[in-house]
Amino acid sequence: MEFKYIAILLCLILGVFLSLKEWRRSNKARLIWRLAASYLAIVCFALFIFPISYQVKRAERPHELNVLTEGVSKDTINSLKGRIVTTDVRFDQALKVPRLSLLPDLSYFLKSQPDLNHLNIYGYGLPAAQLAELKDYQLNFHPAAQPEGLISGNWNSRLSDAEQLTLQGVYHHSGALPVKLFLQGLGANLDSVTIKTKGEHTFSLKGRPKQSGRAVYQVIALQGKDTLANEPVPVQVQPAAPLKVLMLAAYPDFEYKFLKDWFFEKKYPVIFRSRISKDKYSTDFLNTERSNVNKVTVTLLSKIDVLILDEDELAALSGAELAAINTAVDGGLGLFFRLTGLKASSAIGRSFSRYESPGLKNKSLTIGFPGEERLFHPLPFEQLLFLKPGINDQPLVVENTGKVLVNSRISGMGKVVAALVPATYHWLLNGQAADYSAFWSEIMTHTARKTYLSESWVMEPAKPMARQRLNITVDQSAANKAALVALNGSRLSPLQNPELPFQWQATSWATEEGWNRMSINGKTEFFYVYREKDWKTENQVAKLKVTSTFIKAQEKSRKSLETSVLIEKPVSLWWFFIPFLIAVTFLWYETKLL
Amino acid sequence: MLDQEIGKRIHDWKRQWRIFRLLQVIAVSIGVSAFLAAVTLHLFPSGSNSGAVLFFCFFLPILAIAGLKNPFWKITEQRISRYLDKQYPELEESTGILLKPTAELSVLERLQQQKINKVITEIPVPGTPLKNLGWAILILIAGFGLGKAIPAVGTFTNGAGAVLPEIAGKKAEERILPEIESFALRVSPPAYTGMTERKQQQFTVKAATGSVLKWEIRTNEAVKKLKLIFNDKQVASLTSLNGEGLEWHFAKTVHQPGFYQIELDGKKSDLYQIELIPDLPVTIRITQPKPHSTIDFGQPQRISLVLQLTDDYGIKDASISATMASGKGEGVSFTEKKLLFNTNFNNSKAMSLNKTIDLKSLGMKPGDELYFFVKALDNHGQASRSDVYFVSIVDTAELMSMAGMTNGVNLVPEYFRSQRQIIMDTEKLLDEQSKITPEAFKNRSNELGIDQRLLRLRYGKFLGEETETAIGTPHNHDHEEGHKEDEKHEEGHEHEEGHDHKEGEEHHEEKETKTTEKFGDVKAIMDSYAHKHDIAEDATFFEPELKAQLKAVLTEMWSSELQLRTYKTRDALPYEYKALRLLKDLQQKSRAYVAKTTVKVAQLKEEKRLSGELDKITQPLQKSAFEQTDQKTALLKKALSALENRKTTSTFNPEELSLIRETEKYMVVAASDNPTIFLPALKSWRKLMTGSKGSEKDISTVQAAIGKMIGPEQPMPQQPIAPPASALYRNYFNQLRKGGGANGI
Repeated sequence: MEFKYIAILLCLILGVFLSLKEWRRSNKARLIWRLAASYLAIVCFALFIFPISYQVKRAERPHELNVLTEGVSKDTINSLKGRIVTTDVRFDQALKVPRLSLLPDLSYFLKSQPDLNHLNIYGYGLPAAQLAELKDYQLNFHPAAQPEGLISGNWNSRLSDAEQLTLQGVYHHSGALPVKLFLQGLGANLDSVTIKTKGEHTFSLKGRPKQSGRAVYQVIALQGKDTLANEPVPVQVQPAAPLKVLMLAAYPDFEYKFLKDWFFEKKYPVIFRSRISKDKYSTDFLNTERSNVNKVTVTLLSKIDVLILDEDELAALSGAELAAINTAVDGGLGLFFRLTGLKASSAIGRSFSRYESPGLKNKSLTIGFPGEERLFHPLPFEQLLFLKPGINDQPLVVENTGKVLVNSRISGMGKVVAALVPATYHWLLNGQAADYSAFWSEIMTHTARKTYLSESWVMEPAKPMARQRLNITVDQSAANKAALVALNGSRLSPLQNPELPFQWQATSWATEEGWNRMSINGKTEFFYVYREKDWKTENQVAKLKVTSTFIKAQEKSRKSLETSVLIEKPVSLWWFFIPFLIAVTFLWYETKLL
Repeated sequence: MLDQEIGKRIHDWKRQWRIFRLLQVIAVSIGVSAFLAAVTLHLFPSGSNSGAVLFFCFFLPILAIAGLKNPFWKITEQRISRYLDKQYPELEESTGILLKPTAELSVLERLQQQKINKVITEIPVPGTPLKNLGWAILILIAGFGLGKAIPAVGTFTNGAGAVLPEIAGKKAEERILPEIESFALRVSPPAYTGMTERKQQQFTVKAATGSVLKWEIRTNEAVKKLKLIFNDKQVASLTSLNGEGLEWHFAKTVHQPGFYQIELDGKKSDLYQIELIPDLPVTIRITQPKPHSTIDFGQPQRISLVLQLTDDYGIKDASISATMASGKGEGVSFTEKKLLFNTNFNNSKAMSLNKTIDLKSLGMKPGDELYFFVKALDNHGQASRSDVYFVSIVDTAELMSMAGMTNGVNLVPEYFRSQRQIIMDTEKLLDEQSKITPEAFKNRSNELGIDQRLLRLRYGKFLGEETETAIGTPHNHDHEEGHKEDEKHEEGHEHEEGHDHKEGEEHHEEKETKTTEKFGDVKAIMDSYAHKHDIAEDATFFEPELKAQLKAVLTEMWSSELQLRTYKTRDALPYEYKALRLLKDLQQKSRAYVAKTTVKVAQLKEEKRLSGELDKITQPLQKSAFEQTDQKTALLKKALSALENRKTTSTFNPEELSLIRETEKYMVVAASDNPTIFLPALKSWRKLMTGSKGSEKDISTVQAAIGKMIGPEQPMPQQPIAPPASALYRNYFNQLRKGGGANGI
């Protein structure tokens, strides 16, 4: 710094000195020329000491790095120029390419190489956590082809007793041979599906787990005799909470009798009241304590989950009782309403409009759930009466041509279901108990009062793997109380959501593979930690997606990012040396020759 | 020297062609005999090595025939030269000269010989022998190909062959205690099977029910105690031969499937399965007659019964059990009879039997019914019986009677009577046949035929049939018939008239020439001028079923008419009767008969009549709670999950262990009931419980078996689960309701 000014000063002094010398010289001829030459020499000399540089705009290329991830083929690697690295140990070992170097920590490496500014990512990409550290770099993604196999799979892993397990997913098939997918568990096959054509196929596998407790089922992809995939499907089954049922009948009939017995054998508490005469009833208390049910009140109904009654009985109820039912339904009670005739005799009945259709005259009735291919066995009676669904209605059971027989509607927090099927007990008489169970289970589950959990939890990621970070979100109904979350015995400290005060978030790490125990507010819950090789293709697809969305977002936000940089380029010293030489030569030559 | 050189090429050919011919003959005979042997084997399957024998049986004669037909030894130089002369004109018919010794030839011949000798070296080799050989090889390949293909078309398998490998396969996996040096299991099937005793070298048994199993076990060292434990319950202690503790014998008759194990001085073996083949009763298949058959008038009063009997071991006896019902109303009497098949059953496995049952000889009269079924007994004493078959003889007298007709509603009485009339007239005509001239008989028969036709046409209209143009004078006969009818049916008759007019537009001309008796009948006259179409309803008046029956009536009427008009009056009667019967059936269909009964009503007690007061009515209350008799399903379900745990931890914790131990009793019961399915699971269960050596496969086997014991899961109504309802959500919901949401809540 100082030297620079000193040098300039010295040069200036030299210039003044030289000027004076020239001025004093006797031979004044070519004085101007000599002065000019002297100055030129001094300037050039100065520039010798301080060479000048200029800025050049140039496309930036040289400092780039090829990052390889899983899914890159060997041919691609061989065609790559420049430096190639990977962060994946297993990938490095599998490939054995001498040029490939392993980086245990990419961000550390990048920090140590500041001139690197351009990364080419090959393969399935990087996980979101690693991508976040690369946001200042220019990234270029060369995605590998979509992997084959089970690229996605989801199922209801927390079931209650006898509930159906439904696994849905996507399979990417590219081979010529058909692939068979099995849902397997406890030594038996539950369901299977065959995929024949190429492309991505959505599939759905169903089964009812038989165990009570935890079990790991498998979804297996077989091609001929080769197992292409074998992924775990952890499932836990908890005992089902029984429904409390109240049946009010204008007169006893077989439909009531069989339904009552069906609930009875399942150990569900049922109160069955059938009218004998005016204000005289015959009452059955099944699996429950005796109480007074001669009058329908809100307190009685508050202990009940499903109220089953028929239209005649509804018409016979008093105004106060009707009002109690209405209040209870709005408060969450499920009302199952058996319709009998074409004419409605009550207000609720009128809201479900009916019509007569002679299409099924002398024919048996075949019904099923809407949107499902499976139909029940035909019922041996003719059904001419159907329900007209309204805009706010959800049909629950339809005849096989689409005419609605059971319809449902939301009323407050509860549900009102109206049914026109007079005699489903024929199924039981014909030995088709499975149909009977399926029909009534579906309808009763739909109708019944909802139970509100005191707490629920969600884990992110949904399929946690060993050594992965777990984000647990707990919702609880109790306000002003911190949630108690413990994982494998050690307590976590949850963080309250600032906007939703009932939501608490805790973070931990998955340590052990397999079933892990977690306790939330003293209740034990289980979650499954997967091995690294489980659901691999799904992870690969997820990585592909994350990487490409990240890079797309980055491109958008950094549109103005200079794709070229200004570089200081020094002017060659020759440019100063030659004029200096010429100037000095002139000065010398002039004294000697001229 | 020169000779040989001259004829050398021909000599070479001779040798070559002889070889070709020989090969050709052999190839053809091999091909043909391979094909024939394959066909024979296919049609008459027999032992494994009979194929080669058969092949040689065919091959040698065929070779001989083919060899004699195409004798290779007859290929001589002379024949070759003749062949060459024919084939190649450039040889100038002189090849023969080449074969003659040069010395014997004249000068000219010698010149020619030299010339031809040059030519013969230039002509191409004739291809015919080689071509023939090629064909022969093709036949050989085709013969072999077909011989291979034929068995694949369809195989006559004999069961024994299929069973053997299965047993052999099982044998390999059976584990035997090392102390057992050798053993044999003698299976003597019960007498009824007719099978001989067999001896096997494995513990797993598959035998007919009631077989006697004899174990002969030889141990390699003296053993104090040897026990056989059946189904984990019955223990049989064996006593050794000579008390040395080396040779052990035991015999047992098995009636129940299950499993057993051997215990040698407290050391237990694997579980071995006892599978039983039950004896099935005789299956009876009756191909003739149909379940319900009716014998009409004129048909022979007998039925022929054709049936097949099959049994797995042998049929001992079969008979027909027949019940006759005669009389009617309250006077029905039943007679039972056993009819025998006059054959010897001889314990054969399958039989087809015929029997003609003469109903007359059974004493059946018209109107009677016969119910019969076939009973069969197999050699194990198991009886089986067929469905009951019905045969009824139509009572013509009943058909002719007017019972039920007089007090009912007459729907179509006119037609009915007409058919009856025709029958009566036919019978009358047949009675009078001897008294009248053949000419008159024929006339009357023909007239009856015309009546029958008219009747048929009338019924045809019910079916919407178009009338044909021809034959006779419909109206004339109509009227005749009409006059025969009772007066009271006049109205119906007139209605009928109308129909006739409608039908026959083309008949107008004909009608005009006839003298009409219907003077003054304005309606008739009007009808003849009016152009009326069929009432559309007529065509679709009846149900399809009814129509089919009507059609059957018409067919009978057709046949009856044919017989009447060809003067085979007697032959017409059965058809007439059948038509009548069918008509009557038709008529009876549309009526219901309720007999009159007397009713006695008890005297009412005024004081006991209901007053309308409800205060004395009690309200019944019932209370009950469902008691689960056994906790089997719940226990098994928990065991499933305990086993699942075992997959990862490789040991049971004490709680799980006691749970799994409790499943044993269920496993044992299941295994003894159904060893084929549950025995492998029980074995795996034991393996798991004895230590930690059980593999994941064993766990799966046990789980699968428990899953089967639980049976299919049926859905249950569930209480729907909602996430925790915080005050915020509640408020939101209430605000929505207050505001009266868009959906009208």
